[in-house]
Amino acid sequence: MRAIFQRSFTMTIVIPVLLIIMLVGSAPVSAISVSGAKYMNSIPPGGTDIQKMTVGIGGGEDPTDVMVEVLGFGQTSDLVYTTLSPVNDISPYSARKFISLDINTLHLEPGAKKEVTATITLPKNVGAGGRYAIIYIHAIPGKGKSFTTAVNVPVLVTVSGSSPTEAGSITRMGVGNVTIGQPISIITSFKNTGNYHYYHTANVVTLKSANGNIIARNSTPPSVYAIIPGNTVEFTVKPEVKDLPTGTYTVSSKIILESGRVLDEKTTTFDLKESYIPPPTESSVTLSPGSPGTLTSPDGRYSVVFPQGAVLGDVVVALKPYSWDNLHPAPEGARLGATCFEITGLSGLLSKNATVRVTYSANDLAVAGGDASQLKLSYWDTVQGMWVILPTQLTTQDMKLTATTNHLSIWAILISSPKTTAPPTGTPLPAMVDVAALIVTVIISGCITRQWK
Amino acid sequence: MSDYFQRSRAKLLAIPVVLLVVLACAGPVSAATIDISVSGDIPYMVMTPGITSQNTSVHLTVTSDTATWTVVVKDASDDAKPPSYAGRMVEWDGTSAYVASPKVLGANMTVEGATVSGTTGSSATLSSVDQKIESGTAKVTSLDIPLTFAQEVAYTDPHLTASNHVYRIVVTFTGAPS
Repeated sequence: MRAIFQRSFTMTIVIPVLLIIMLVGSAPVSAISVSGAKYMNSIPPGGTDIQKMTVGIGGGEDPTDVMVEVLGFGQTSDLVYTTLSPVNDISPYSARKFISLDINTLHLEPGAKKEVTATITLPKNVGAGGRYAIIYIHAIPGKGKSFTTAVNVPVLVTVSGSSPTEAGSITRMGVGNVTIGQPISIITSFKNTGNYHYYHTANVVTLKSANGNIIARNSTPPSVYAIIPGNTVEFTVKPEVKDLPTGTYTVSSKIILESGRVLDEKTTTFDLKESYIPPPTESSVTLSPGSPGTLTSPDGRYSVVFPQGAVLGDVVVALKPYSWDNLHPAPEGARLGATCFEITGLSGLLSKNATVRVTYSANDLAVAGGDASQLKLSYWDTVQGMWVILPTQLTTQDMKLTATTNHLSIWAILISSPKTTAPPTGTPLPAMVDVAALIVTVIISGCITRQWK
Repeated sequence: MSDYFQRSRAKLLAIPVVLLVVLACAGPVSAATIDISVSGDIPYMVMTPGITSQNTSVHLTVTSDTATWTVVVKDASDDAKPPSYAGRMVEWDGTSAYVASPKVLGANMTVEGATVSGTTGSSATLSSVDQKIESGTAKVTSLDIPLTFAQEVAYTDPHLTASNHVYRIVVTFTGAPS
């Protein structure tokens, strides 16, 4: 409904703009292949080893220039390896300066392969543990090409004959915002304080009530990435809990190695000032053209009533939880509430409008500043790439929001002031009508003004 | 649409996007083979204020002889792009350089990798930091992964006025090993 308002507003006041973004891409394919794309071996102090890498491009590609660089070994918070420029590679465990390449640039004809040799030489006083770098092999983008490809070659060197130290420390631990209908997230930041990497690290979280009863105990799967010395990574565990009453809860988080050895453990508490309700578990219903149907979440917070004839054939429609973090941003002038969910199973539109009914939460109300009249049921129009805010009926007695729609996708409660919502009757215009209206407006405005900034 | 814009003198914002794809193999091994290709074209992405435009015509293809691999994405600020604009499309002179005091789209571009057998996809809002869009869970051969590029355009986004200038971004895909 906000879209409708915006359309009208645009036609009368705002100089509209249509941006056509052209992604120039004459070459439809770009590819690179590298064998010998990882080095993980032991070298004694003062010793040398060789890593041969074969670089090629596809037979159907344009001739390509490739650059090869030795960079620092960084790591993102979600454990992914990433390159560090020399100026940022300040780790005492860097192997970057110990690696030399026989060639830094190479030219590849279509279908050709060439070999690059990295020589890794450790100084005699290299110290103990591991040393790390990434060899970055990337095609130089050709003029006018849309895509280019590259390969990172991680280098993990163990200083043989030394004693690696596997150590780590939890640097921060906290409970994310506890929101009704969303999972509780326990976030643990952990730093490798040793001199050696380790794989298959897991984070185990235990949630206890005030009287010490264990409510949930969950863990991450063992990481497939090594944690590199000096890097801090982040683990997120979402304990599987049921309804939680108000009160104080205790969370313990520990980081363990594959062997079961605990690297560190920390405990914290948090207060629940509102009763917590977990996300709905998935529910589904089979709809048939000749019968009405109702899809209701197990906790009763969400329901969709389909009239007879809403579908043209038998279809299974499911209601699923949806992560608030994955929601598209709210449109201008609106804000995301706390409640969201997803309805799947329909590839198109309903033949007849369904009635969507949602219980809003205290969290939604808080975002609206206590004004429930601003809470609007909205869905994400995947075709148009925009939120559609629906005319929403409010009943404060049972905290229900109700709207009708023929469009089922990702749903959320949006907070939208009355002045930006559509008239209370009718449904949003079909998507194509929306687009056409806007484009026509742009054409007119484009003809009469060139002053838009 | 081009004819329309020529008539109206509205600026067509040609945005060559160079996608720099970086991939590496995974697994505690001393040699591995990885092959990555990007196919498809994005000839036009029509954008209207208030709408997030999406393009799904580009695919990523991965071959990996290690079972765990990851593709992450970032804006590496190539071609001397001001780092403070990482993740956002910036005014380009149409031929060779970002302009001084460029106009910049307000919203960051997003890239989403699909979930297909052998990998789990996710969405990333482009920034200067690597963010995961694919987590490989198996050895794969020519695994085809659809990509979605999305760009939100607002009424407040600046209109380019100089001739031939375009918005441009260089997107870097990085395959992260394990």
